[in-house]
Amino acid sequence: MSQVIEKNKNRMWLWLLITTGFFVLMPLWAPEMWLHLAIEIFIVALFAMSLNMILGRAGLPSFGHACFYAVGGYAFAILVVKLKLPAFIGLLAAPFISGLFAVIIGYFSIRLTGIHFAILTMGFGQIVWAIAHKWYSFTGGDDGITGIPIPAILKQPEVFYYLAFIMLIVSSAVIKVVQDSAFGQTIVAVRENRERVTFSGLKVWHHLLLNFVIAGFFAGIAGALLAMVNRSVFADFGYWTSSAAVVLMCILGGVGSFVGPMVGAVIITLLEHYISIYTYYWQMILGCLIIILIMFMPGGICGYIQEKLQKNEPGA
Amino acid sequence: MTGSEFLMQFMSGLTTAMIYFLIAAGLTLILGVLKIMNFAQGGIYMLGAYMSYTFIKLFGGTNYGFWLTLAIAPILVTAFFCVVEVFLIRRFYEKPAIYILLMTYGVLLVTYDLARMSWGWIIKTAPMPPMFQRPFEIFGLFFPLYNVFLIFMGFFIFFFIWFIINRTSWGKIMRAAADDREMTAALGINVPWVFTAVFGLGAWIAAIGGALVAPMAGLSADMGVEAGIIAFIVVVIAGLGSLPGALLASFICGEVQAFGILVLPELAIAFMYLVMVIVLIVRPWGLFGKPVIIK
Amino acid sequence: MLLHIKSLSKSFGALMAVSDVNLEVETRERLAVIGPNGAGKSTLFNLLTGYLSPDSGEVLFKGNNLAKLPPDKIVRKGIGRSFQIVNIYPELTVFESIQMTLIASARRSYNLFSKAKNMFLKETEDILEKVGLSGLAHVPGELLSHGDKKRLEIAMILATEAEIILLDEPTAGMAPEERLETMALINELAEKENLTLLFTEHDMSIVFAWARRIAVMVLGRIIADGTPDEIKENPEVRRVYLGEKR
Repeated sequence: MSQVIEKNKNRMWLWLLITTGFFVLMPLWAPEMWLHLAIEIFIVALFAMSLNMILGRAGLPSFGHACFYAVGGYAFAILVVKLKLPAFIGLLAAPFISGLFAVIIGYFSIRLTGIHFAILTMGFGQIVWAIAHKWYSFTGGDDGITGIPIPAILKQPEVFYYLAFIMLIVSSAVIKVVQDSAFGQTIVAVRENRERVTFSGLKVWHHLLLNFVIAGFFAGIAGALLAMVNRSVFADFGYWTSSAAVVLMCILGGVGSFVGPMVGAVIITLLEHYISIYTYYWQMILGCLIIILIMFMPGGICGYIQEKLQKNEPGA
Repeated sequence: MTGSEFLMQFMSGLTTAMIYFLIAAGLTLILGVLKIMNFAQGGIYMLGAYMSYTFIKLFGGTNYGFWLTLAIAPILVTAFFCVVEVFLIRRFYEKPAIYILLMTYGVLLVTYDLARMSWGWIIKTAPMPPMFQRPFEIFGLFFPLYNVFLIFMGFFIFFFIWFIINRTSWGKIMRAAADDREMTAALGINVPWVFTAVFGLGAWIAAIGGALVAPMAGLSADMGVEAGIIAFIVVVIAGLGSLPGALLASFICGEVQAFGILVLPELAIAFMYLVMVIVLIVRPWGLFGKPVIIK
Repeated sequence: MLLHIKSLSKSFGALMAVSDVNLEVETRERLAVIGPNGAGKSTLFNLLTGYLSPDSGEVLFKGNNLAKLPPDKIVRKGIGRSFQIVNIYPELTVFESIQMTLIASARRSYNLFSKAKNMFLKETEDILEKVGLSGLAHVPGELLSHGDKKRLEIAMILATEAEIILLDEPTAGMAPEERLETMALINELAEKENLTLLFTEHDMSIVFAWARRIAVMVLGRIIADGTPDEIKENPEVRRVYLGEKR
C-alpha cells in the first residue's frame, strides 16, 4: 500500500517536472499567438483554483465568484489610470481590494449552504456588476476602462508570459500549502460535518469566511492580471455567466483534485478558442458539453482518472 | 407632478411589474416546491415568446389566431421542458445543488443557440392582434389596451397558481411532496411525476409570459438571459418560493423603476438591483422568506 | 459539584418543553435521564450544549454559567456531546478525524501554513489506542461498522478534553451485542479518564446496568431522582411507567 503511494508520488513529481519544463521553455519555440493563449490559460486557471477553495474544499456552490475577478481588474485599472500609480502597486493592491469585497459579501452569505448560498453569492455578484455597469464616472460604465498604461517591458509577450506563469506557480503553491494546513483540513471537516466541527469547539463560519476571503484574494490577482494583459477591463468580467463558466471549469476538471480546476480551465479555454473559429454556436456546444459532463462524469476528468487508477491498483 | 402624470407613470410601472411577475412566477413555484434554482427559466420565457411569434404569423395576425396561439405555443414549449426535466434534471434532486445549477445553465445555453438557429439574429416583432389596437380610457387618460390586458393576465395567473396550490387536491399533493418526499412516496404517490408536473407548470407560466409579451417587445435570444436575471432578482427580493412575495417584489421593482427613471434616467433596470441590495442587507432571506441562518 | 442546573426552563409557544429543571451532577457520576418520548430530554440536552437558549434558569459548570453561550464556547469549557445519529466525518479517515479534533481543541485551526498531516501524531495514536481503533486508523469514517462509528465519535469527544459527556441514546440502532460492547467501552473510558457521563437511553436494561443515578423526566419536569434501586421503588415513577394507582 505505502509502496503504491510512494510510486504515485514519484509519478506525480515527474509529471509536475515535465509540465513545468514544457511551459518554461515554451516561449523559445512557440508562435506569439500561442503565448497569448497560454497567458489567458494561466490567468483563468488561477481564477478557477481560487473558486475551488470554496466549491471543492468547502463544498459551497458559489455563483458570484467572478465578482472578485472583476473587482481585481477594476481595482488595478482605477489605481493605475485614475491615481496614476505604477502598475506593480496596482497588481499588489488589487487582491487586497478583492479580499475586502469578499469580507463584505462573505459576511452576508457564508452562513448559508446549498442553493441559498448560490443565490446570495450570485445576487451580490450581480450587484457589483450593476454598479460597475452604471457608474460611468468611476468605472466607465458599460464602456469599461480601456488603454490602461503598463510598463513597456510587459508589452513583450514573452515577458508577460513569464510574469503570468510565475504568478500562477506562486499562487498555486500558496493555495496548496493553505489547503494542506491545519486550516485547510478544518475547511474540509466543515464540508464533511459542520455540527461535529462546532462540537470540537470551533466557530464554523469564521473559518468559512476566512476561506472565502482567501479565495477572493486569489481571484483578485487573476482579475488584475487579466486587466493588465488586455489593458482594459469591462463589467462583463463579473457577470454571472462568467461565474457559471468558472464553476464549469472546476466541475469539468474535478473539484476533488488539486489540479482539476486547472485542467478544466485549459480545456474550456482551448475549446472556446478553437471552436469559435468554426462556428457561431459555441454556446450550444458548451451547453451540450455541460449536460454530457454532468450526466456521465459528475466527478470531472480528474475524478474519473482517479477512479480508473484505483481500480487498476491491486489492494488499493 | 400632476395627478394624471402620476397615474400614467403608475400604470407603466404596473405593466412592467406584471411582466416581471410573469417571468418570475414560474421560478417561484419551482424554487418553492422543488427547492432548485432553474437558470433555464429565462430560456423558457424566450422560447415561449418566439414560438408565439411563429404561430401568430402563421395565423395571419388575426384575433382568433392570437387566442389560439396563447393556447398552443406555451403548451408546446412546456412539453419540451418536461422532457428535459425527465431526462436531465430529475436524477439530481437529491444530489448536491451544484449539479442542477450547472445543468440548468447548460440547458439555458442550448436554448439560447437553438433560438438563434431557428429564428435568426435579427430582432423580431409579433403583430399586435387587431382587437387590442386601440387605447383604453380611465379618468380621461388613455392607455394601450394591451397593457391593461397584460395587467389583468398577471393577476389572473397569480390567482390561478394560488388556487391550484391552496385549493385543489393537486396542490395538496405538491405541498406534501415539497415538505416530505419520503412520506409522500410512502403514501403511494409517484413523487417524481409530481415534480415533473410542478416543473411543467412552472415552465408553462414562463412560456405564457413570453407569449403575452411577444406582441409588445422585440424578440431576441438575449431576452432569455435578461429575463433569467429579472426572475432571479424578483425571487431573491420575494423570499425564495413565496408567490405573494413575488407579486409584491415585482410590483416594487416595476414602480421603483417607473418613478426612478424620472429622477435618474440612466439607471433604468439597475433600480431592480438597488431594491435587491436593500433587501439583501436588511432581510437577506427576502420579504416573505424564512431565515435559514445556520450556526 | 461539577454541573449544577438551576431552575432551567424553555417553552415553545404554549408548550413547556423543559420546566423548572434542577439537577446536580458530581464529578465521575453516571447519570441517566429517562422518560417517555416527548418528555423534554432532547430539549434539555440541546439547552445544555447551546443549541437552544433557555428562557430562564442557569447552567453552572464548575461555577461558570453556560446558559446562552453558543455551542463552540460550551465545548471549550469541557462539555462534549455525542449524538443519537452518529456524527462523524464521512470522508476523513479515523486518524484524520481525531487529528482534526485535536487541532481544533488546541486552537490551531487558523494555522494557514503548517501541515495538518504532521500535527499531533503521538496524541492521535494515544487516543486511537485508548478506544481500540488503532487497527482501523486509515479507514474512512463512512466505511466503519455502526459500533466503530460510535467509538470514533467518542474518541473525538475525548480529543476535545471534555470532562463531562452528554450522550443522546448512545446505543440507538445497534445490535444487542454491540450495545453491551459500546456501553462497556464508554464505561471503561469514563473510569480511566475521570469522565462524568450524562446520558439518555431507551433500553432500560442498559440504564439500570450502567447508571449510578437516574433522573426521570415527564412533561418537562424531573419527577424523581435517585439511585436505580430508589427509582425502581419510587411510587411516582411506577405510576407513570406502569400505570399503577397511588
